[in-house]
Amino acid sequence: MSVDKDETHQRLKAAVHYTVGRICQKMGEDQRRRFSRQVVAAIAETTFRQCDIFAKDLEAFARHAKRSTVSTEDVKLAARRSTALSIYIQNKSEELNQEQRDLKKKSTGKRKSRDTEEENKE
Amino acid sequence: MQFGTRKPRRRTHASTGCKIRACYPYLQDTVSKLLASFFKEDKTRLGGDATLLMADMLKIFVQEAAVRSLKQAESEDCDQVDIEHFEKILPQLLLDF
Repeated sequence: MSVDKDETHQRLKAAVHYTVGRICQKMGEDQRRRFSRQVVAAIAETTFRQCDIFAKDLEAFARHAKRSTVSTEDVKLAARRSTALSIYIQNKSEELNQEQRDLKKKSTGKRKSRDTEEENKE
Repeated sequence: MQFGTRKPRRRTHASTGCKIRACYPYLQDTVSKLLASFFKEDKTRLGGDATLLMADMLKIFVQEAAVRSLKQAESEDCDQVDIEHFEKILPQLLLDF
């Protein structure tokens, strides 16, 4: 069973490495500097380990709130160290809530018009 | 389409319409699996919105690492970003996150 976990980790590490490579390439193009392969690997490894820290924090926060599902409140807490970051995450979560509210309004609007149509048919 | 998504197909997953989910349908799954692999308890799950926010945060982490390394290389007047540049910015990066 631990072999499976290792395999999953290897695949996830590869996915992270690929994405990090693409981000680094894009940022390097703007400044016309290349990232050496060592640096990309180092950033990927650091990101992977940071995920470990984030995940453990999120799990602890959720457990503290007596929940088994990690929510956006937990993510906001995990971003508390830097002011700019926590403000950014709060704004993003507001945006997501707003979009969900808009979607709900649209779908209840549709449902209401469908209901009135059915009433008219009867 | 309301949000001006780049790709015409939409993910017909329960909750959404969100830009990120429409443009990068696999990103949410990858981030979710990545974080879930580190959870100590099996019953812990990651909510949909929380996954998106975490994906954003991880992207910012990588971008910060890249940009700070670039600035460091620039201040040392080097053509290529080398491991020593990354090593110099790493402590502050970890403290900031």
